[in-house]
Amino acid sequence: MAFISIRNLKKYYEMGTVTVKALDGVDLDLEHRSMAVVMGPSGSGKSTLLHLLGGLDRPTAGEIHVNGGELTHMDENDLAVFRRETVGFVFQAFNLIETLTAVENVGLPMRFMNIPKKLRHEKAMHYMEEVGIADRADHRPSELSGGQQQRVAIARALVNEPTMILADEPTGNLDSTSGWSIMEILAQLNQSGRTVLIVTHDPRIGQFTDHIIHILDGVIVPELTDQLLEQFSSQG
Amino acid sequence: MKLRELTSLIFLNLNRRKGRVLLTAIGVVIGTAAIVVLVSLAQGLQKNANEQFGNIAELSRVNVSPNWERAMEAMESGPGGMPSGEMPQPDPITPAAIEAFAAIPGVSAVIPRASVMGGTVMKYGNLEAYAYIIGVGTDDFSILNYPMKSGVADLKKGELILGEEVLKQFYNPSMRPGQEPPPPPELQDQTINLEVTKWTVDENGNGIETKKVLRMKVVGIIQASRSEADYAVYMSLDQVLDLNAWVNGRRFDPNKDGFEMAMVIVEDRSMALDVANQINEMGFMAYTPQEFIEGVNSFYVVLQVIFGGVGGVALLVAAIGIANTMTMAILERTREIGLMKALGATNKDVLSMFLGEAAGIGFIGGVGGIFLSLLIGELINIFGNVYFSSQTTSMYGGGGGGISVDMPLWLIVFALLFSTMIGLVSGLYPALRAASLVPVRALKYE
Repeated sequence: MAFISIRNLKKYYEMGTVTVKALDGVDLDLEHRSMAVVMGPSGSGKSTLLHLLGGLDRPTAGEIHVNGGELTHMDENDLAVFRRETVGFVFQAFNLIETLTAVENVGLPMRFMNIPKKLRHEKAMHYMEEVGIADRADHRPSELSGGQQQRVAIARALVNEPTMILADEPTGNLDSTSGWSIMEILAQLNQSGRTVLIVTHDPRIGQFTDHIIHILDGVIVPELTDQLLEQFSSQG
Repeated sequence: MKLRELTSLIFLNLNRRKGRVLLTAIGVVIGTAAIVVLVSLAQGLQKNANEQFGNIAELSRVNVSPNWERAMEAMESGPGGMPSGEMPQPDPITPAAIEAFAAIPGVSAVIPRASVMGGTVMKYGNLEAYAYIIGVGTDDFSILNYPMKSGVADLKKGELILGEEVLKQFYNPSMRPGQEPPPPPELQDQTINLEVTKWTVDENGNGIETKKVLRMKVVGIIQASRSEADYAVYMSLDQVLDLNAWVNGRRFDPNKDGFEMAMVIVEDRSMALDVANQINEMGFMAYTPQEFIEGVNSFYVVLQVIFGGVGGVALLVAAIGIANTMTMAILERTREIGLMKALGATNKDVLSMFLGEAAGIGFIGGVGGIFLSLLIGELINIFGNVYFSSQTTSMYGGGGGGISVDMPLWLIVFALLFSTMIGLVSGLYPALRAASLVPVRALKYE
């Protein structure tokens, strides 16, 4: 079985009387140390796929195997441990805590692992160096640019040494130059042995990998043709 | 998450919302202070009242006399109505009865006592005073637990132990009006004359007054303690019984006549009521001041509950304040909760964090409340005493009494635990809500 193996994944939301099918039967295999980009227009279900894969939400039906474990069978506690040990999240809005300094933000996940303060600081500094933001360690998020904040967030995603990085529109809030350098960092992380899955609607990001997954209306499609996109927008 | 990490996170979160935490805590401060001050006020009042009850020694004592009331009832309801005008006789306190009292568990000693049936006057130089004589059936006066001002607590035939107030009763009978009264005499180790008077009737129906003078040595003075002993003159029981034999013209028979009274000393004052009840069941009349004190104490317990309840209302309002603050915090920090969960925080971690914050607010309020109540307590003690001592000295001649706050350590510890508990309980619902948030929804929350 592949490192990531998704079978017939469905996620339905009840919106009043209407059922929204965010994912409607997705099958996907991803090898260990691979890098994949999930592309699709907004509302296509690509973020939902990433959230389910990261154990942030539960599917309506289907199976998600990651590294031999089955997410849908895990209880809340196991899911928390899974998120803590296997996944590193990178968000569009960075989600840094304003009152903490950069290095404290990076060290936050280690607090849930009972890592002592000194080691926490050392590890946080190590990963901040890896993403080239170590010189801003004692600044608060409000004193950092968007690109710098995203680097801090990436360092935070790395501190627990996850095997899988899940990035949800990591460049969405950034100008193109910062966005490009963030993508370079993510590609670098993949080359150093981590499985990286990026959700985006930015077509330029496709340049960083051969493995592009197109998603539309909750299903994986071979290619996003203009015809398909037209069909999609006319529905919306 | 380990406790150390948890506390550091809780502290971090409380610290970043200082203003709101303090405002919420003020409610707890007021509630805690209200409870602590009011309960300690009730405690102080109770303590003061208890001090007025006099000597502790008498609280662990049961006084037993023959049950005249029961004898009267028995006679009235008897089959023959009033038989031949004879006085009804209750069960006498015989040596056998005394042994029975002594056998009751918790009784440490039983001392028979008697008073002199004639007139008794003490004379010392040109001073004299009426003597309220109590004959006690023991050599070892210390059994009665009275604090001695001077001398020894040991009483033999020919010796007296006086209450401190007795000294002030001495007066000069030949003093002219306007003359300065003499100071109380120093009687410790002095010998005084005890003049006993009996009245008899001769064959012609004329009253005859006969006097007998005893030379008595004062061996001890009992310190004044607002008790019966303050005004009493203690003498050995045998000597009192000899005097009574002289007054009555016949020997005393303890088995037939019985003692006038018996003092039953119990090991612990809490047992006094129980012992008194058992003696009553034996057909005697037992009385202990404990009965009265327990009544008064139960009043103060009620007072404490009412006062505590008033403070409790304030604390309840504070608890709602904490719940409100925590609920608001969760709304504001929904995204953050989502983030924490994405970073690997378990539901339990989130729950403990929010519970800890709520308990922290309660604890901060509790600490503040204790400081506030210590301050208020001091103020009440200072101003209350100044005011009341000016009121009471003129009325009773003595200081003391008045109003005071008694803040025991247990109350402080209790207040701190209780306010923390209040925080914890009010944080329970918001914390459960935070813990059960679905991470992805929390992350999307704007």
